[in-house]
Amino acid sequence: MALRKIMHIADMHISNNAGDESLLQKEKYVEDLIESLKKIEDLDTLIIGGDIVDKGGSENAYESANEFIERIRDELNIKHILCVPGNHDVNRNLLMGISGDKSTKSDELWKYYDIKLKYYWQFAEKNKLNIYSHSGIVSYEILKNPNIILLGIDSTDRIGTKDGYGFINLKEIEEGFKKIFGKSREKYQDYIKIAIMHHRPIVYESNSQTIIENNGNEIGLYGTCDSENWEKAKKILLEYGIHYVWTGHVHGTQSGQIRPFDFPHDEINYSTVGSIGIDFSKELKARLTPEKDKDLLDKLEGLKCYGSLNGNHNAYNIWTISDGGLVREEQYKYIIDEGNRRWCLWNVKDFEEEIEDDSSVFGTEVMDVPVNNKEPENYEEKILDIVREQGLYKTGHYHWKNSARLNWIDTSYFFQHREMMFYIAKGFNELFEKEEKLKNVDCIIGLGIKGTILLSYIRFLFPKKKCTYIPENKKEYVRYEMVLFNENTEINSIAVLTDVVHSGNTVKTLANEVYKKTQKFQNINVVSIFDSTPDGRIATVAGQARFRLYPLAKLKVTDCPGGCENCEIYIRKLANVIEYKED
Amino acid sequence: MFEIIDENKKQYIISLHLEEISMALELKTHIVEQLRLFSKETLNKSCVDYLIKLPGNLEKYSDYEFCVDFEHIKYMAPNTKQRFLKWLQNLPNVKISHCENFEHYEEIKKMGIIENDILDYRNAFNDYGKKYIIDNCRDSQGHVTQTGTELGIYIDLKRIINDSIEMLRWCYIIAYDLNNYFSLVDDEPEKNNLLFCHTMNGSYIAGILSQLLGYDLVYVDHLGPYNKLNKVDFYKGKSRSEEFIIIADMVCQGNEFLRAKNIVEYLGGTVRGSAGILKLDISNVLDPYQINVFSINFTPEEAVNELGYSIRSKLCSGKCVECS
Repeated sequence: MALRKIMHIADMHISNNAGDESLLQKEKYVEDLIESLKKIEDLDTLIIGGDIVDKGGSENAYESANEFIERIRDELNIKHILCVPGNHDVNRNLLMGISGDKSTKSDELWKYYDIKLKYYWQFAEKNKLNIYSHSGIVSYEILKNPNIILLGIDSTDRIGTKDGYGFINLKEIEEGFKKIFGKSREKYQDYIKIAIMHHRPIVYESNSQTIIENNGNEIGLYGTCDSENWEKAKKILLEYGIHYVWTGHVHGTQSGQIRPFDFPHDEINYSTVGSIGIDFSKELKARLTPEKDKDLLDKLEGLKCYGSLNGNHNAYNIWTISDGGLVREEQYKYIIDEGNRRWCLWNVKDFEEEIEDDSSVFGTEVMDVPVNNKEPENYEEKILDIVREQGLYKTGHYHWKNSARLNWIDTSYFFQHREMMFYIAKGFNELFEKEEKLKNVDCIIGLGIKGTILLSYIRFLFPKKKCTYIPENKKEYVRYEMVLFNENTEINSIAVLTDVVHSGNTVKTLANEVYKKTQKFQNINVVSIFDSTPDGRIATVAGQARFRLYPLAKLKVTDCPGGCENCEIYIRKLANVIEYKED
Repeated sequence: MFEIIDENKKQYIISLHLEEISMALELKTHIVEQLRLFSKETLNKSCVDYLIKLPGNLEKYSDYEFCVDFEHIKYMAPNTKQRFLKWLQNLPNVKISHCENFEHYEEIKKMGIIENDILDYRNAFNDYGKKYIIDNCRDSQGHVTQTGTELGIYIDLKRIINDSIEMLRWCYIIAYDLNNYFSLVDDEPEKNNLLFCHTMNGSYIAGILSQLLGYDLVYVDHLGPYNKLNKVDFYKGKSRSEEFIIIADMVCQGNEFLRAKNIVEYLGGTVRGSAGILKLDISNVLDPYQINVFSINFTPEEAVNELGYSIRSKLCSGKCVECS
């Protein structure tokens, strides 16, 4: 079976400004890179996913890029190179030069493809790279045996003097595809089709909170394309049978990004490669001082991958492709190994199971180094932000028949916004995966309507666990409600889902009912959005089951000091009093 | 996992879309990416891996008619194509339905597989669903309802609800019908309709539909027998001038539906209709509404003859024909 190896790199960021040089301008680094690539047999194709130069670059910077291309072509016997421009290849100075012209509108400068990417086109011509068009599909490469078509797409369409989201010229790509594949898509039907562009269409996890700015104006989330434009572009790609999109831009390899294996909803398989050129040490040195940033420096010491604190790193990908399709993605990273830096095979993703694994073909060692620089999600912070923003913490006297509180958390907002429910489900899922006691529960119970809605969001995450729901505070449960619990059922530990735990009375009532049915004391694990208990626990009396609380956020709510019946404010209705007749 | 096997008709029917959605739920990506699960159009590797193990024992089903329903599936993970087509070709007496929009339709046609759009999953579910209710959900101990009427048998839908596979299957059918309705009527199935629920079972169904269809939900906790509102958590922003679909487990006489409708209208919303697991067609309460979507409908004759369903009131006093 014919196999082909393709190398994918991006974000070279070559610069001739002193202090801004790329690692690709350092001899030792390039030597290490070439030595590591020499070990890969049958490599004959190189893909460069944009940002050849840094900050618009200059002709001089492209000269350094030419040297790198020449060297890699000669020493590695690379026969095919496909390149696309990135946002750093857009030269703003050249655009500013024409902005004074009366015939040019300042907000339409992005349309001047020839001018804004002038040095890039010169670089492509000089290196004899295929140029198909100056917008839409900028280049394509046809490889035979196995049959592959690589399509370079310009995602810098709307980038002019300001940076911004990735954007694709839909008309241009559609026309380009018609010409390349034929009006009835009759050409290249059996080819494996791969699109290459600079911008990652979806947010890169590590950068998901990074807002990019230009002159103080927020212009978007780092690492994304305009979502509306991308949805339309995606449809066009799928119509032409293109299921793979390889990108750069975010400077990090997205671990587990290969769809549909990990993100099965999306019809496109995304792969993003880290930066081959950015020297992260400068960025870190500029940001950190030993006195102030001891914690961060300690964390940096712990990093085994050469990169920045937010998960960006130097990398290249090697793809193996056969007639049957994509076989394997190998992610290589520049690592710190006992003080020395070297290139290392970091992670491997297998695609095609039918292909027999021949390790001699696929080369070197695989280091088992976890990539986990991501901060754990702070659910409490986000949930309390929502409480603050939406005014969900209500002040006043809240009196029920048998209990009374000062103040109250209105959780209905969470239940009535699907995105919030997904967020809470994600938090609950993490608790169930992390906490041993929860991992081993025999049954998950939704308490009341809200507990039931919570259960519906996590029920299918644990398809093998028994699940049910039970009303709150019933004096007596009808048998249909307790159908899961009888003396023969092997249930020793339960998890109860609810929105807020305060006194724990409703949970205790439930525990008693379960005990009546099963004649076993259960370990009761209460998983909730809020823990508003006065002291972080539910008091138990002798002989009762033990309660463990697993809240996503803690927000104390005080009992009314006057109690249900003796509160003067409640009795005389002196202030904000909210009365519930039933408990 | 969700195949429907009809031993009488000797049919084995698979919905690729439902299998794919089930895999996506298990892989948990929908909670991170906040997906509208019903809009999934790609058959992925994990699902194909599962399918090729189906059916476990082909010999047992050698005289069965196999139908693979492609509805809502347009694409597939490219590196699984060969294995999938091979599996399809090797199924005995195989037929396909709703395959025209699938990217490899032409290749499947060339394989000589027969198309039959009537032999599809939704149609097969009608018989399956009725049989399931009759065999599994009838409780002859009876039940007194909130409105004081007495049921001869109680239909215990929690038997479906407690079983995760059945629950997803039944909710998928509701989502399928609602999606069809909105595609035809509004031409916009992804519009954010609001689901309204006021019972435990209804909330559970609404929560699942919310994930499948991408609609937000609004609940009232709980609707008492005399339109008494207890703990109304109607969020301000969602209660006014919105269109609601009332989600119920079962509609029989329609009393609960009417009470829920009153609440929705009192709070400023409009009711478009109702959706749920089971409808016993003995009331015309839902007739004027646009949406009337249930996994299974029993006609009055079926309800009496096949389910053995009867409703008595205290006014009867044993003087009616049936009692005497």
